Amino acid sequence: MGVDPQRYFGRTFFTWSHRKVVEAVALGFADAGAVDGYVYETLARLHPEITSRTRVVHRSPPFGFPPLVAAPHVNEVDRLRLRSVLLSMSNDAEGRRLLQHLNLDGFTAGNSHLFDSIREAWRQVGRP
Amino acid sequence: MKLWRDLSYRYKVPLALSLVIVVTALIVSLILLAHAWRDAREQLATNAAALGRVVARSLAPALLHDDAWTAFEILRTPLEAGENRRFLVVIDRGGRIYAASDPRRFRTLTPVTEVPELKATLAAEGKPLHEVGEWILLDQPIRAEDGTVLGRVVMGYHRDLVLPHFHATVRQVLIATAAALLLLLPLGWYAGNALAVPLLRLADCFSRAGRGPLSPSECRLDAGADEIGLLGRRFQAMLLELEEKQRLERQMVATQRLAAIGRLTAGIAHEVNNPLGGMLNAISTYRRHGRGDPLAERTLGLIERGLTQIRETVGALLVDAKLESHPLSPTDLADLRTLIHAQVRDRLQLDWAVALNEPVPLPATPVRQILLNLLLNACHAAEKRVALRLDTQADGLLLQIENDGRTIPPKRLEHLYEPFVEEEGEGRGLGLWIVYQLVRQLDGRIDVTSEHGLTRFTLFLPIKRS
Repeated sequence: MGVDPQRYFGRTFFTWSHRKVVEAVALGFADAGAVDGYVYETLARLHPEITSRTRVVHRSPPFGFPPLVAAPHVNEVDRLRLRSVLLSMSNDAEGRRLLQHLNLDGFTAGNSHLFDSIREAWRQVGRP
Repeated sequence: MKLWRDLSYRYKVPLALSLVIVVTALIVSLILLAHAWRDAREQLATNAAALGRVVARSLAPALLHDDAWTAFEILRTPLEAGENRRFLVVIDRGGRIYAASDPRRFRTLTPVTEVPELKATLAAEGKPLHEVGEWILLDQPIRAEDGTVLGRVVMGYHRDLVLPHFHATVRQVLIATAAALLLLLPLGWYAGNALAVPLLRLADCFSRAGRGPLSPSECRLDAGADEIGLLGRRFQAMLLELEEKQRLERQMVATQRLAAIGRLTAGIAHEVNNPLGGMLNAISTYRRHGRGDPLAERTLGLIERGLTQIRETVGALLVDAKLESHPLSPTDLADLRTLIHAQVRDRLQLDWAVALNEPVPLPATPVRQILLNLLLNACHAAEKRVALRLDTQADGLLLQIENDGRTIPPKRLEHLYEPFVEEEGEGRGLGLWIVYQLVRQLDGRIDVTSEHGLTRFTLFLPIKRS
């Protein structure tokens, strides 16, 4: 993009939490903030009084959702069982209830290409 | 002002006292309220300073790491949700707003000089507490561990926060003031009245003084030794002196009138006596040498009786006490008693108190005449009682003749001794005139009082011892 945020904005700061970014904007402490779309939408559902005091000025292209990964030492059987449970959550009532609680439609098997847009952005800000 | 001057002291003194009480109460109340206001502010300042120190200390790491969000969260912690009567602002070293509890009001990065409330804090550097408009501001520096100043935190308190405490005090002060006034005002009014009443009485007496005789009983004045009491006594003394003076004047006028009448009657009597003597002599001569004409005889008899009556009347007017006479002795009074007793008989009670044991050098004839006239008058006037009292004193005789007859009217008393003014046609009205002339010629005094059914003549006849 060719823009240095340190110069473009009067001040930038981190709130160390997506939700607090929305709060900072809602309270008027920050003029604008970048927030994960999933967090914003979940917040809009649970706490509309916060998000209603903000408005969306720009949407980035879709990025891949953070993946669930297993540690290398987890054995293959457990990993496959866990994966099968997560992928079939939307098929039973208990699973749907939990998914709804998380504001998710369901889990799906992804691949590395989902994160190509992030890699591209990373490259653009000059990080190898 | 004129209204105040014309106002009666009955209201002026109580009003003045009440005014003083009210003003005093107001001043005391205002002082108390001023203290209360200052105390409330000081309490706020103390609380704010404590909070300020805590906040400043918590903010130091956030500022050190340029963590605006943490700073913001710290600033919001002491405040309740939606609270708008307090604010906290962090100002960075560059004099710009770093973070504020109310970010919409205090925009981040705005220079302090552009915010009216905060601008004042720059001017009042070093003074931790100051007021801007409706806000009370407290300024607290934020220091790093090594003492470097990282910025300032300014806490703003709305004036209304002080008010609840203050209002409670105001209520208490007002109640106390009202109670004090309720107690003091009637007291003041009463005291004012007590002060004014003697003055009013005095004024009342003064206003009545001109309109006739004023007895001390009519004029109830203060007996105190204060100025009003003094004034009252002086005024009463003045009234008495005035009355005495008027009495003396009346007496003098009466005496002068009587003296003039005396001179006039004596002059006329002498002028009448001379031709009278001649005429009587002529009648006597005619009788001796006349022819005994019965008609002339009858006529002359008529003339002679008339002339004799004139001479007797004139003789009565010409009172003379200086005729030769023996000294007054107890026998003379005994004679008098016999004479009067014949008049009184059983009709009246006669009180005879005569203290005379030996002759006194007073001419008996005029004294007898005086007493006889007065006693006969008393017998005429009395209802039940006539009294004579005679006391021998070192320098004269004191005599009192009393009767219980009809009171002599004051108008009559003024002309009592004048000749020919007797009412009801009794006698010739010369009895008291003769008494008066004789008393004067003996250098004595005569006084009469007649009130409440008691008429009393008091005489003093001086004894001249040569």
